[in-house]
Amino acid sequence: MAAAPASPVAYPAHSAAVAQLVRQAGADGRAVVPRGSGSRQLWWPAPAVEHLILDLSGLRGRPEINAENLSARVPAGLSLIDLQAALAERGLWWPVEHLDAPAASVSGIISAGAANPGLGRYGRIRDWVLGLETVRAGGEVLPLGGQTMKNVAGYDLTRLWVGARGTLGVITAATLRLLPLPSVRAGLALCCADAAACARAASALLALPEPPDVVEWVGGGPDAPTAAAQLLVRCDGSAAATSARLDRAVAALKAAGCPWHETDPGRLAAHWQARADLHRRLTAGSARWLRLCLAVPAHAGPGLSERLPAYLGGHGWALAGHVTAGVYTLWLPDGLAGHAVAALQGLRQEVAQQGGLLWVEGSPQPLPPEFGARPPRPQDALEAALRQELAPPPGFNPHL
Amino acid sequence: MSSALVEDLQGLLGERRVFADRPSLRAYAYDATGEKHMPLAVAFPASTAEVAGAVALAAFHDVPVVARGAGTNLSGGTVPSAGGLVISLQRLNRILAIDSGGRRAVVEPGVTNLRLQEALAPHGFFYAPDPSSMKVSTLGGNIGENAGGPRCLKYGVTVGHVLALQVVLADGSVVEIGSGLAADPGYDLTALVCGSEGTLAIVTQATVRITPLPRAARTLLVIFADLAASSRAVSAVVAAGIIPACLELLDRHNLGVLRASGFTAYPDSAAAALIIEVDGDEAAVAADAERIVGICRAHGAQKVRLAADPAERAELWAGRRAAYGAQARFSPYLWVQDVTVPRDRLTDMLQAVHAIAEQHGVRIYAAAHAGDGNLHPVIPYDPRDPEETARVAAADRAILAACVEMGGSITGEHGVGLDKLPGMPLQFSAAQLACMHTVRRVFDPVGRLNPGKLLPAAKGGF
Repeated sequence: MAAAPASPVAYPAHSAAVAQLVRQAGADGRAVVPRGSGSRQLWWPAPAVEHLILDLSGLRGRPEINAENLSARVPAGLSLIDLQAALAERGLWWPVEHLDAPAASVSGIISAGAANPGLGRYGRIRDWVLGLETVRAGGEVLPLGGQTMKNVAGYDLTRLWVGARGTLGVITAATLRLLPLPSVRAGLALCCADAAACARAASALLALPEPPDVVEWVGGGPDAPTAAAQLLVRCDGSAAATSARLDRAVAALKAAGCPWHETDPGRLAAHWQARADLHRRLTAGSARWLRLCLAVPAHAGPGLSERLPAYLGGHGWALAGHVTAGVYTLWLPDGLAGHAVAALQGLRQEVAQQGGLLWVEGSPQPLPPEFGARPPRPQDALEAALRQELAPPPGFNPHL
Repeated sequence: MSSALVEDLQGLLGERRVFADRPSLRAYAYDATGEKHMPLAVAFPASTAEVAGAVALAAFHDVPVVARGAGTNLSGGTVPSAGGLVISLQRLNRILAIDSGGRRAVVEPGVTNLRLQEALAPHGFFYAPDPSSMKVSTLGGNIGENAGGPRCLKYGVTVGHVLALQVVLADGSVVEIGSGLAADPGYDLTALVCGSEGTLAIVTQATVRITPLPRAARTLLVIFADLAASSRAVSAVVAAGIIPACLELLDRHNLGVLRASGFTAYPDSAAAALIIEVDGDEAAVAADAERIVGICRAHGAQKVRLAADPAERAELWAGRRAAYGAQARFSPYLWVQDVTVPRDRLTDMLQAVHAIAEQHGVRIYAAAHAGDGNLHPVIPYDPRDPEETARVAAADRAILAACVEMGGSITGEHGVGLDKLPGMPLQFSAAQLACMHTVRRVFDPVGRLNPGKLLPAAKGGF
């Protein structure tokens, strides 16, 4: 059987070339699919052959760092790992981490509005982007936002573009808000016998007036490549402050009946690496997997995590979650094949009852009509109208 | 048309909650800028349904609508410049929930910032945005303006603390936007409405993030004989990896009026004062305060005073908080600006402001949220003197132009309103403004909500 024809791919090296390609695509009636490092390119069915893939990896270069302003202007194709390395040389960092794809491009992370282990402490990515350079439909280069910490002139279009998954235009550069690099990142790992013990420990940490900056839940079903349930805990800051906060975390864990934990740096690094490998291990060599995002009020997360087996049964699944933010990733390596759609609909219902949302972040296979990628929301009509007006067809990323 | 609208509003809300007589209307014709335009009527709904009903009636009668909180706006954003209906949200004043486990509170827009702070404190939490008007300004107004405040250096401005909104659109429909969660799929409409100055929708309920009260705080007053040295010290503190909760600056002119108002902490020789506050864990706060003292001394500080107790802390803050009032004692009319520049250009901007003052023959008091690069030049003037008013207006334009030239924004926290409309084309291209008009039309196709604010009129538009 002949291979299916692939979409054309263009590799612009600067924003003027992006603008020219977007203009030409519009004239040809082609939708544009922007691509950063390609870390998410297999998350959805391949773009239609008539679409133009715009690979932004050529928009690279050193970030322009303004240490005094705690900001940096970054080309779209720069990877997160390279950005953080360049910032670290100046004693700075962008408080955004992407455990599943550390080599993802900065523009991809911004477009995805990707969740972040430190979400509970540092807030959303939108709060760490001061400005963007974008290319709109028609090939117009449109700067958004600026380079100041405060800016209330006009509408906040920067935050509208962040997390829009490239549907409003192409991001060609970003001005980021930075923080001083913490002098210490200290942590511990807690490997629990079961999800119930892990939920008790997570709830105890959440009840602290100032929870640790990162509390990552890692767990899964019987076939998952993870411990039954594990918490990875981290505090950022000065040596004195992190030490005091970790002491309080340990006291809370002891009070919750979870006295044993690991602090050996080598073992901790191995646990974090295993967490970072989860997505790759769960999706490698398969085109059936499903990746869902589950967001709930933070205090509802541990209990819900504990109840997941009731929905997912003995089938393969894994869960990783940013506990202090209430945002979790759920992988089903066999996709819907091993799970009744009704079970996931039931889970979506319970999540909604808890005041949360469950949506699909990636599925190489088309989803069945009875399980939409995301539940309907009251703001959907406004979103659709904004997209229609700001990026009319053929537009960008029509599959999203 | 106005009498029919008033009649319909009275049918919806009752006669006592609709004002249409001139003496009452006059009280809603202006805000803190002093510019005046008479509305047709003022309505006082007490629920989302009543707000929606009032907006629907305004739409039926084809009348503009201006939502209003406490009227403390410093950019003319709540002045009914196109007449029409003013909807006061002060009766929507309930704190609906404080969820300390979920670290959020649900409030109505008429709750004052201070009332929320007072309600949160016994739970061990606070709401981070703290505009200077916080004693009287409402959370609805704070959200409409995306308000800042001294603490925003560390904690960020209002938009970072708003998780979800219930809003009424221009046709009277009610929509929930955002999710109240730390992540959700779709466009961030919450951030879009936040800071939209009531031109996209009227907020009737907000879910806001609440933050644990810090375990400790230390406050310092640092006096400098040289303004440039003080702003270099600001940069050095941040460059040292310290993010204070607040980093405020007062210039020589401010210190002069404060001395004349009885504040004795500032010597005659002082050219600038910094008020610096660090908060967090006890050990870290003590270490940071010590490092800041060293940095300021290394940058030529004349005097450093570290507050020993809460009473002294309040005393150090009193001067900063009283600056605007002290200026007003010497001139009842003040032209207030809100420019923001990248932090590394703060010294340049301060020097530019003083050069512009000299060039135009005006006095300018400069206070700054220095850590944010957010500068408030205040120009006293007499509006009855046309020649002086013209010089002040020229100085205002020059300051805005200098700020934009330095990569800044014409407003950091006060909003555009009416006051800064002429500055918008300085900061934004025609294409950028057209994009904003597109957004506005999606939410409000006929431009019913707060027309004539935030965006210069589009060709053939509103």
